[in-house]
Amino acid sequence: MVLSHAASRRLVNLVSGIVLFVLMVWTVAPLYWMVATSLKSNTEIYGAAATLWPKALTFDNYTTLFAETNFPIYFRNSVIVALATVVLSLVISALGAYALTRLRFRGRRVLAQGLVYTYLMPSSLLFIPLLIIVRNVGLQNTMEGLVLSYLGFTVPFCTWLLMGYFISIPVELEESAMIDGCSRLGVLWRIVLPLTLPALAIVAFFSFTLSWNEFIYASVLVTDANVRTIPTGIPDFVVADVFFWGPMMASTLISTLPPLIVYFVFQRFLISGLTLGAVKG
Amino acid sequence: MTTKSYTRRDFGKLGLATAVGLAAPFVLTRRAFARDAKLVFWLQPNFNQAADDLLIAQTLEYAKAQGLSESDVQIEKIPGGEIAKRMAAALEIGAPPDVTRVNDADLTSWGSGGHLLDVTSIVDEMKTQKGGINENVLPQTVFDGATRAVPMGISPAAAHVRLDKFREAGYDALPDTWEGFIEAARKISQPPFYAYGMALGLTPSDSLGDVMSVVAAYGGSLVDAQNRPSIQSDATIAAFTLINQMYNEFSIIPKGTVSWDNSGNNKAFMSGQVAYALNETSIYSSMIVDKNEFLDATTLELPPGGPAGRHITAYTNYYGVFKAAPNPELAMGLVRHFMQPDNYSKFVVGAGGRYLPIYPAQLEDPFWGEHPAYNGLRKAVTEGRSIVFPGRPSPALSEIVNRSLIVEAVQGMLVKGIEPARAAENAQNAMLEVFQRHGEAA
Amino acid sequence: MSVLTETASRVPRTPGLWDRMSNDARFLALIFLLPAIVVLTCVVLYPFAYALVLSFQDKSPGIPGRFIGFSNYITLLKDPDFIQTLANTAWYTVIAVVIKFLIGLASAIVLNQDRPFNNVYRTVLFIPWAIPTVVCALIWEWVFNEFNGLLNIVLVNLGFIDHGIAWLAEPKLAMWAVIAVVVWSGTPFYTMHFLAGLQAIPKDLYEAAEIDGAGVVQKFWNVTIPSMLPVFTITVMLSTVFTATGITVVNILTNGAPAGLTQILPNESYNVTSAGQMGLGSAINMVMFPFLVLVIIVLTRRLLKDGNN
Repeated sequence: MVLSHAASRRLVNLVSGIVLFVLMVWTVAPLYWMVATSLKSNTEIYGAAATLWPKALTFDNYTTLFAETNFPIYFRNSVIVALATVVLSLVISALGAYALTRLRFRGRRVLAQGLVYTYLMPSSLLFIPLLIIVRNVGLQNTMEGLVLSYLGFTVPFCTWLLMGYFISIPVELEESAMIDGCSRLGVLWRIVLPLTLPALAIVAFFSFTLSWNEFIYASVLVTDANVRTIPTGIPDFVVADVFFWGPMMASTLISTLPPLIVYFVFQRFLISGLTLGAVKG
Repeated sequence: MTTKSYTRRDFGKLGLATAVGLAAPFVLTRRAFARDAKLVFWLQPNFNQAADDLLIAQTLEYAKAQGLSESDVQIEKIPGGEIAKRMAAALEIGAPPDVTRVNDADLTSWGSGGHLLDVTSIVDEMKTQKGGINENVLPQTVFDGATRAVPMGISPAAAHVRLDKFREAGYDALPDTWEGFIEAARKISQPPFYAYGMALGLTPSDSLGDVMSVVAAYGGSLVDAQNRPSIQSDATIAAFTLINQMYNEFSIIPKGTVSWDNSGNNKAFMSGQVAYALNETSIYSSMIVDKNEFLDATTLELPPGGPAGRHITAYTNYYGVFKAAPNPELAMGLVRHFMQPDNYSKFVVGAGGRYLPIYPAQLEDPFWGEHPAYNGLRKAVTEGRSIVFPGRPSPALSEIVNRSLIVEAVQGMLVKGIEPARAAENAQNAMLEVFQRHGEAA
Repeated sequence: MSVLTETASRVPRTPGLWDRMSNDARFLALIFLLPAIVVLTCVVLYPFAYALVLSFQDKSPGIPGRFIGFSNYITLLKDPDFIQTLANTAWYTVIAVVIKFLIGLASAIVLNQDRPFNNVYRTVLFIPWAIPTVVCALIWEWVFNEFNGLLNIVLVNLGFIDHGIAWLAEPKLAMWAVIAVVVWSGTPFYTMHFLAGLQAIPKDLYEAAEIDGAGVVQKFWNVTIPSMLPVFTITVMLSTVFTATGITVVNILTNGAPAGLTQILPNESYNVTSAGQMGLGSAINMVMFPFLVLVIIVLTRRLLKDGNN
């Protein structure tokens, strides 16, 4: 194919424009349906003539959500659990990833690989044994219990991502610092962490979304409505009421906002965090 | 290397610290399992908001009378589809609720597992009330020689029928045979409106009841009188053939029914998408409570019949008190409070007939007269059969119900083109495997 | 290690335990890894060992189990439905991962180009990741609804079909519908990683290729793809695991319907365990393990080697 430089550039732009358009429609369409449903009245949602967009806007579903359901409590719990999980998994994973990438010791590879295996344990397998442990340490029906359990998947996940980032920092920086009398901890604190701040942001972000989304553990470890999180709280009013699509879509919309806001604000930061890790994968 | 600068002592200290760290969580296990709530009640939604609210109110009322504060009581709403999983987990850690509603299948597995408390005294008291109670369900509640559950209501699987649709098609009432039903249904079905909202999903729910309502009309049953699997029979094959026709050939059942969850048929009927749904009266009772637009056009009937007669399946719901309850008297008192005739009447009526009363005398309440739709169901109280008729519930049968094994075989026929005879055989084999594993005679 | 010895020799006084330890790699590694090891032992390894033992038992909740050797596994392997579920799981995972990979790569490439409002596009394409999976499944259940779902309304209005299709019930469509939801909710994970990977490729590599006369396509194959390999590996690995072991979408959308055609192992295990058969339930999940381990070994071998150098 012989195309001039400019022509091939135009072609690329055209194709990618179309691709972007298709991707946007694919992503947005279900979201549109969610928003539209949340603004419809029951008759419009269930009526014989289903409507594509709400004919008469109503905010009843949002009123119902906040006045008649426990949604605000679920929301608060989700935020607390997710934030606590983020902080703990950051500390644990940063230390672990540093050890696995920077310190030479026997069994390093085995440990690194073992870490991946812990990540592949399905929660559908572990939920009852885990409940036994969590109960035995007295953490059933507590947010601490949830946080502890979530570390089970956020720690391997974050450690692996962080390992990629740590590898990308030149060893020479650390060595020269240590020659200046800096201890290992000092190196980690003063040199490695500042350099990987964006990476920490991205890892924090992933562990936030993972625990924000978790369902199985939350449904088994917690039976107390005061400790329930959004993913287990929502199906509650799904089955208790026959006409639930309206309030449910409303709750969905609101539960999506926190991660989204974080993402929008920190986007540049997050992308550059990923970039750093991508150098070495 | 720097190894030399260490003494064995250092390593000893390190090792000790590690061991303590690793062992700590397991040592802590001996910590007391003090729970804050003195009374834990798991509320399984009744698919009827009024019924749920009444139960909560009565629980709090009881707690107050017992001198408990509101924080001493824990009422957990456990969605129907989640109850088996949550209870399995709770029983495993020895922390079931004090009281919860129990259905037939769960009664068998929890009762035979030895988890339920002897509640004979409550049932005996109920028998002395005016008119007594309906006693034909009591044999099922006996495990290890004692009554382990308090029957709390009878729930016939009633045919909810949109009479207006049948009238439009030229029928005065629901036809009394399945052949007649199909004939009418073909006239009624005009997609997106369908005649039969048959529950066929794999979530344990109404699906098995829907399938068995057709099978029973032809004389088939899950197990025989000796409780051996008997689903593979000519009757079943005839019924399966019919279901296959309704789903595939005549399209009077919406295709999506195979992926419905346990409220699928409720929603379809209440939002006016189907003309017939077989369900506990939770549909009709919520329609009363919600003042549903199709209420007046709806009536309750026995499902159509066949060569073996016209039957109705009635589920019994119970209250169970768990052995693990820290204060059994307090827990049993809650069930007494629920079953105290005045409270009970308030619940049954306030819930719009979600359950038919276990006290036959309460059928005299004016409520039942005001809703003639219930007339067709009165005899279900005495004539309704269990879903495992003529057998009796067993742990193997509970597993078969909870894993939807029969419905899965039916789905194989509906969507994979498996012959009805093969589907019946598959169902039988699935049953045999479970029976064998449970060591029950097959 | 020579660096460490030198450092140590500079310290004039006899170093205390802490000084010695904080400069010793093995000790530090232990300290640094201890929290991770403790946590993972408690919430992953111990439960796993427990589940492994369960898989050799006949066990109902709250009643001590009875060892029955390999009976559970034999029961499974003799069951044709189980074999079907195993096959479903494999092809569901592979197809979902491949599609997520391709869409993720396409999104990343497009988002990496200069274009006004790029921030908006990047945020929008990321939204599905921010939605709890339970909620994703519920939204899509509503989109697929036979009577009032978006998909059917659009198709009917456009005149493609007369009345709604039951997307989740048609044997030929159900698995694709499930995969569509998994792809929708999981693609942003790829997009984000790939986008970052693309930005990390040094510009001079492309310039060098251009000087050699490479066109758009050659640049893509000769520069982009090779530079992205490590990113591809880690993303695919993490995603394969959470695709294969995630049950939420299947559980909510179909729970295996129609006739087990969308059933996958972890969900089957979840159902069986929930029905009180804890031993059999554990065994079902255990069967999946060797396959996942294999995937991980293949994928991490190179990665860890790279790390060593």
